[in-house]
Amino acid sequence: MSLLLLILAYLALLFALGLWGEGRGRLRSPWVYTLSLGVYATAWTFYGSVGRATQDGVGFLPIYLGPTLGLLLWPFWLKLLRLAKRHRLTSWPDFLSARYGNDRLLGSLAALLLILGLLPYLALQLKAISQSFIYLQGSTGGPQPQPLEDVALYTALALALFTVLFGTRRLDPLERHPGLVLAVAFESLIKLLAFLVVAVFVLWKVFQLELSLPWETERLAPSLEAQFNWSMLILLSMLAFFFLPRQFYVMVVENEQEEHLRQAAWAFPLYLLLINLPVLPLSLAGLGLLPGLNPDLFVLALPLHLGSYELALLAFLGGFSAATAMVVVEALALSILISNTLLSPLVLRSPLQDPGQILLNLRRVTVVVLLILAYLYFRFSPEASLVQMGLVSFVAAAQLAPAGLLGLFWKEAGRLGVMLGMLAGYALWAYGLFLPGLWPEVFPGFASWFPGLDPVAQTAFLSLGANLALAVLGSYAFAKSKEEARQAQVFVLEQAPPAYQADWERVRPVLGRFLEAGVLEELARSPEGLEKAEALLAGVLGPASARLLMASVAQEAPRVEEVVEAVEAYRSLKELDQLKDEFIATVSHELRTPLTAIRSFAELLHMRPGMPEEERREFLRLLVEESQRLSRLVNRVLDLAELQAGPGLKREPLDLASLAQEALKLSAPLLAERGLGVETRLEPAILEGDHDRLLQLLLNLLSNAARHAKSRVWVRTYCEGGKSRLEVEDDGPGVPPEMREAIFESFRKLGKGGTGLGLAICRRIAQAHGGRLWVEGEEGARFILEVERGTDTHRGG
Amino acid sequence: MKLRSLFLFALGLLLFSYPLLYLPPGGLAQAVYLFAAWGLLIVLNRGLPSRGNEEEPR
Repeated sequence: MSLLLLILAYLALLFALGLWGEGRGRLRSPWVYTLSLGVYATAWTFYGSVGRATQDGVGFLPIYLGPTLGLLLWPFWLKLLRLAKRHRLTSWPDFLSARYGNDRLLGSLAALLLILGLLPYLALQLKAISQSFIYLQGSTGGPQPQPLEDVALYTALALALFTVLFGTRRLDPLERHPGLVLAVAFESLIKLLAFLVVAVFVLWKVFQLELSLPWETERLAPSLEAQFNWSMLILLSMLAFFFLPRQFYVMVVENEQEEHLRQAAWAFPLYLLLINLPVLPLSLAGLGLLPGLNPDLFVLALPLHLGSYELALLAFLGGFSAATAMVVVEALALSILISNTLLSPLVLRSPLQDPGQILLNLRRVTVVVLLILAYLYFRFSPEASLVQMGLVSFVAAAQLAPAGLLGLFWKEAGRLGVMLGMLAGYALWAYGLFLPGLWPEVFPGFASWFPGLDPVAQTAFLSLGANLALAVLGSYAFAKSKEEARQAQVFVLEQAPPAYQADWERVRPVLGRFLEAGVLEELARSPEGLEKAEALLAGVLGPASARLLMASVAQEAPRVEEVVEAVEAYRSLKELDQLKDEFIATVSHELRTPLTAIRSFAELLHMRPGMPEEERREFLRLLVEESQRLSRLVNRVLDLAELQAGPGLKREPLDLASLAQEALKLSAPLLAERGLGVETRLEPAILEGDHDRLLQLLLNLLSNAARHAKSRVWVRTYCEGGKSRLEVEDDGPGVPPEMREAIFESFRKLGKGGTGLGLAICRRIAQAHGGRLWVEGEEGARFILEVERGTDTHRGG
Repeated sequence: MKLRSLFLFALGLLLFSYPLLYLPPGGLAQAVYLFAAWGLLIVLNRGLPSRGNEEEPR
């Protein structure tokens, strides 16, 4: 009876403290903040650590060394605090959905998997309460009480009431609950003091009564397996400390100032050190004085055995406070994340009148449902040690770490990659730990794979490894949406999110459904009111839903970089447009010249029927010549257009030497007509290309050379530095240096004759082959074509 | 600040690394070593008082 009274009195004290803290407004002490982080130390620490220490000495310590190591990196975690404040993030799933392009699917997935993963952990606390209560009432091995007689059920319901009262009083965009935090900090103090006092009492009694204890504990074995287990547990607990929902809640959401984290970075490890000091002495005392008893109960049993029921009650209170603090904060954190990621999208879509109130009520229902589920898990899952149950949840929470850490520090991390990673991680977790915990006969886990390794350590290694690998590979493999890329900038580089433009009168009724009138007025007066409104809504609805809601009423103003990008794109488009206009003007001009000539000759022939035969023949010859020129010009323009539209080139192995011979054969009459000598040096020069296009290029270069050469033309083919080269050189006047680029532009001619398109076409052909064409030479002109060398054998001339 | 924290993290990894753990001869000695290393890291992370470590501004 006294035990029940104690529980009721303690719960009443908690309610009173919560109420008092709530009335005092925000408590800004860094000590309260540090102690609230103590919610990490649960019933598992209080009872389970002593149990584990009896088996493998210091093997219980990695769970506390991990957070110590993680907090040494506190300057890096400040970034998370800043981002969470700016975007009103209330959980890791919130963070993930906002960081990866405001994707609600990712947030919901993370939330669902977390809930599944954390049920065993909540159940563990209820189990500890039930186990300790039954033990103190004097029954050790009897059957479990009926649910209606089970103190764990009533405690779960009382804690649900406490969480509803102090955690879901109103829909607070800041999600800060000072009363609740104060109560949690107080519980941290109680469990520490209770643990230390019990340990001092036990040791004092041992010395006073001169009892003999085994003054040596189990020693870690110097084996590779033990080393693997030890390292994995440190890593796992470091990740779990930062990724458990309740830790995010107390460390990030309830953080008032960054400076508080700086203090907690050393003060919280100190708290952990102090609360772990009694573990080994108590385990040794338990082994010496109470052999055969369940070691998880040593903390309660030792004071009883040494004659102090009062201290046993204090120990019970310590364990009770450890369990209740965890249950309250975890249930609250989970209910917020369920509401933000799973419920708010549904509520937003529904036509209901007061979505804010509905959401609040749903949160309350969620808290109760969660605790009932946890109770059911505890009642119906097979027996397992406290530590084992907790570690299963640690591995589940750590699955968010790859997505979270990559999202914080790596701009390239992408939604699909981290989602795949997370799914794989949770699948391996379920196979390795969760399912074997429920149905060990059906699911053996990985135990048979690596028999020497701890199942938790090996599942953590496999699941986190697969998770990280898929997240990284997937981020590289899948393209990212524009929204995702922008959010990556906002989160990794901490850039300001885009601003909104909207008419307040239009926005007010929508925001009024979630925010109080006073807050709305203040926002309407602020220059960044809409951005602040989104941040506040994010606290209520989750960031993804808040963004969706804002997007429905306001327009996103483009950012400076986007404006600059658009201006640049406009400029280059304008330049292209101008080039196109110039080209059309030049083409029209070039077409007009032969057309005018044709028309004039035709008119003359038409108007003067009695024209002498000789003159008439001359005119007809000119007519044919001009129409040939016209047709050549049109063909070339079409050629150029075809090449510009994108080369539909054939790719076949060719030898430039054979091509040169073919071109020389075809150009021989032209060269002979001009009385030009040709010198060749044709070495094999293989490439992959389009035979007809390259022949066209060669014929063009040869006709150019024939037009400008005085007496001689040289043609060479050879390979140099992995490239195949072709040179056509003449001893003409050459190309002045300032014109050496210009001649490759359309309609740029050095002398008379030609269409002015030949070299432009040649260059396009070279570029279409991935090569280049240029001109050099001091006396005469030397045109050089250079293309990547092919590997295949040539097809012959 | 970030460099210092990285250095302390590396030191922590070294001190808590497994091979160092089984140098002490027994289980209790291992515990004493771990708690001492833990305490050292806490002191270093707080900053030594003689160097005028800034306290809470208010």
